[in-house]
Amino acid sequence: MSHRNALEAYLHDIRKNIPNKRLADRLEKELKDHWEDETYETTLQGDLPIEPRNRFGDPTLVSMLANLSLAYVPFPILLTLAILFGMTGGLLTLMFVTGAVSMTDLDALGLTKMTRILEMLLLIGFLVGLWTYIGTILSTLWLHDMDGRGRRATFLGFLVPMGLACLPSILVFTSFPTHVLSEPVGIDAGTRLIIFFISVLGTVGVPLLLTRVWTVYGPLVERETVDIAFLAKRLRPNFLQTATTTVILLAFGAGTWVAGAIKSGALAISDPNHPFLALSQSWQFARFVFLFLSGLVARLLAILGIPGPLVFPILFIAAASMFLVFPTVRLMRQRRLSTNLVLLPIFFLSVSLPILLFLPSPSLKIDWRIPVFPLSERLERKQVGPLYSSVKYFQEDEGWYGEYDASANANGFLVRQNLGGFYQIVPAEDLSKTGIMFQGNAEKSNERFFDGFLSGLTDGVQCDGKTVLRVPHPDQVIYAMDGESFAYLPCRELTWNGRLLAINDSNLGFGGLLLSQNREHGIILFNRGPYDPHELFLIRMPQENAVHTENLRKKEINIALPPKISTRPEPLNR
Amino acid sequence: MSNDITKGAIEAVLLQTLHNLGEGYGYQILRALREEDHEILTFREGTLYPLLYRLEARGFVTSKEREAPSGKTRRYYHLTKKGTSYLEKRRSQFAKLSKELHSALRLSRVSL
Repeated sequence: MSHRNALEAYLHDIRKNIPNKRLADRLEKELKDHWEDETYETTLQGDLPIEPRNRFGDPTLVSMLANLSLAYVPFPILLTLAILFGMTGGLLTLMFVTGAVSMTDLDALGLTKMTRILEMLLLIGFLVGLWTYIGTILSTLWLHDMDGRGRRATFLGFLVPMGLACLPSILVFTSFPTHVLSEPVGIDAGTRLIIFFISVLGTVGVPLLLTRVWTVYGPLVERETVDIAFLAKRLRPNFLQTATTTVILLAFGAGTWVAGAIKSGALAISDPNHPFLALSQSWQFARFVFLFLSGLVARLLAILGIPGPLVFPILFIAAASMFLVFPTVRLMRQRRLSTNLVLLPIFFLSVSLPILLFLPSPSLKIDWRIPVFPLSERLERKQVGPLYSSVKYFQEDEGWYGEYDASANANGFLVRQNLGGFYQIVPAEDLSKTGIMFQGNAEKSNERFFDGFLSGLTDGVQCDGKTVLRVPHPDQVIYAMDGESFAYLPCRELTWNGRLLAINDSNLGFGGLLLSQNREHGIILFNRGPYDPHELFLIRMPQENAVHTENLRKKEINIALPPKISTRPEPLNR
Repeated sequence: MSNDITKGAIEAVLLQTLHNLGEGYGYQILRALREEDHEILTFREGTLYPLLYRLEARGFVTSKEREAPSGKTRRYYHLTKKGTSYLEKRRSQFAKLSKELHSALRLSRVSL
């Protein structure tokens, strides 16, 4: 065998034991150059070159040493990153599955919803950036680790452990209330799970493939190995990071659920006929306590209009991401994160985050011109108890305990608090006293109570002089004026039988307005309909002979009280 | 000499050689090592490169490919600041070790 062939055979033996192509290429080139220099010098001296194996050493040993020069990454790091990755991916999936960003039903979307979509898209931009970032680091570390151990990194070999590591996040997301996952787009539970698993498992592999392709075919990254070694060293769990993250997670998790259990017990005591109702409400209450504990962060998220159910995973990710913060900031400060690690994620973050933070969030500004009573607030105060004021503070002025709609018959109202699946049936007389008379399970109510209630009675309702009509829609009640969706027509003055109910000072429409009225008792329940249904107002209307609004000054409105209700209504239609 | 001491010594000598050279490619570094004739540092030439990679991963050495005067593209290695301070630290450690060993061995000889 010639020396040339011997060299080729030697390099082949080296290459086959180095999984990292870039490392193998580099070592091969340097050994070749070395061999040529050595041969040239030896020939000049009149000596014969030494066999490659004798000169360079055992190829298995050389390749093993080369592999070992790559970073070794402890398993806890990979596990932590995988969980973070799964949480972020799960959150993205959840947002899509819930239809939070669905733009397919534009007919039904009001301007308020449109602005929410913008916020949600920006939030998605942020999450995608974070997801790409975590995924890139996770993939890079894993690939380096496998290469360093001299093992072949297969796609399946990555998917299986990473998929398993994502299980906690899958459990978290599948434990969300059913209606959160199914109602907006009507996807059945099986399909939902399939979408979820495909999304999580499938997308786990994308950063891996991109990272591998980049490391093999991308431009040479001079400092990549240094950066990886630094990251691997810094990401090793230390006491401070582990303790901080653990305390935060325990505070969020345990605090939330313990408080929820306490509240459940309290409700069970106060309402002995329905103890399980209280228990099953604990999730919703826990969400509120969680908001309380999350302090300024939750407040910021609420101001940004991020829906309550998303706050928990976002904060979980934020807390757990502390593992990543310190090494990354240091690398960035030293300008060492040169290429594939964060450029793409930083791009996403730098674009989406400032907009997300500073984008003004337009909202309706309704100036009520008649006495109104915030019924949702009253209901929630009763349900949440003394913590309501804290919750309210974090949620600005919105009632978030439930989503409301209302139906009416001659005797009263059916007020449905959808979040959690509960409802209240309120006789009109009692409603005027703001009492909550009955609670029950929504499924039973379909059989026993829902008949006889008509949704969305709008007789006599006008907006800027145009009659508001109910129009058919497959999944919700939509009101329209002149054949156009009410939501698209900014409405300034909302009237009922010529009486001014409210003035809308913003340029936004009322959204999917939902009104129910009981003319006999002069009561209207008002909320903004399917897309902003968190506030429910009780409007006590004077009878038909009341003075018309255009002739009233504001101080006169307060004395236009509803008539005294002297008789108790008939029992509800059961 | 134990493996740990040898390994630490090889790293230190390699860094010192690079420090003396300013910069150099693999074969150039090896030739400089040979010229300095370190008898205790005998290793197969192929293991020089993984050693350099390891030093690079630890941030002591950095490398860049560029065209050599011969027209050939070569990868040149040079010491970083971190590598320089590490070298100084190792120097003082080895000097102290050497002094203490020397002293201890002489004391031993007397006691024998």
